[in-house]
Amino acid sequence: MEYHSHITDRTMTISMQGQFTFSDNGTFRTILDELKDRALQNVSVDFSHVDFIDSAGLGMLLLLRDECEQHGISITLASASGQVEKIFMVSKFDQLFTLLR
Amino acid sequence: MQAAHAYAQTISDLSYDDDLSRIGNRTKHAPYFFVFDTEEQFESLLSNTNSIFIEASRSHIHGVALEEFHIRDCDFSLALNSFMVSMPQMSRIVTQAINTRFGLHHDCCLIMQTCMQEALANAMMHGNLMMQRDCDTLDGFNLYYNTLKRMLNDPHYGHMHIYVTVSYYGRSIKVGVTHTGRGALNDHVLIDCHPRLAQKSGRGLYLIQTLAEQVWCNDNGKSLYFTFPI
Repeated sequence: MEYHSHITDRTMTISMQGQFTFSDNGTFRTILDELKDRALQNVSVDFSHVDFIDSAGLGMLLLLRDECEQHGISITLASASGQVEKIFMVSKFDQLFTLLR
Repeated sequence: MQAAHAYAQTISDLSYDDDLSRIGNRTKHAPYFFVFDTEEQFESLLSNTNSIFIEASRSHIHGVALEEFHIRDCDFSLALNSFMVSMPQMSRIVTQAINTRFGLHHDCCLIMQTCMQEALANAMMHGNLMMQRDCDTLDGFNLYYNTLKRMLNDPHYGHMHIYVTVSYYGRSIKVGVTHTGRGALNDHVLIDCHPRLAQKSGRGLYLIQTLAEQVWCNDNGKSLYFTFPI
């Protein structure tokens, strides 16, 4: 998986691309490092270019959610579709995250 | 692709200690060895051969296509080592090979890839490597994946095999994923696999159960089977 991020008005947008699976744990750690020491209010993860996620990817998003909560940052998962949206729904992520279409 | 000939009677004849060149010597026929430089080459082999034995290491992937090296009662069999399973895109490539043979609906492809991804990861991490789930904290997550990386780079663990078989099962296709480690599933695990809402790990079996038509385990908990309608 590839990603890029940018910050606008204390909102970090993380745009992912490809497949988000257990083999992306290194990339995920890099994303967490980017969050540190930033004065953020919101994190938005853009899934419009992610076509596959597995249970480990879900676990990483939940860890990201914990990190954001600890620092008072809100988190949004945006533009999931296809398999990713289905797995979010099966896993009841709508009860844990703000999901934006 | 021509059939290669081998005298390995069953997949269990091959173990970590067997190396592919020795199989070649045994057969007196040159099996087809492949060193894959690109993902496309690997996909091409999977899509054109019915029974494949694949090994991967940090430096390269090599494989041998053995048409007669075939698990009974299945239409497609594939042996992967744990290192191979850990590579990105592996579940997509395997699912694509199944799709080439069985002609799955596009939606079914993504669902099958999800189940394949979870089954392969479980077989590798919990079956072969005997790793316990502990990713509920960031420290646990870091420890887990550092341990995984270290174990996969150890040839003893990295070369432990996982077998994938696919066959028709009435009006469905049946996928089997079998590991060769000491970890074991049981019916209790299958029944009690509903995760808590914010649980960070242990969702794999739940996803398979939710998405597949039928799910069961066999072979003393070393094999997980699931079906999809076609």
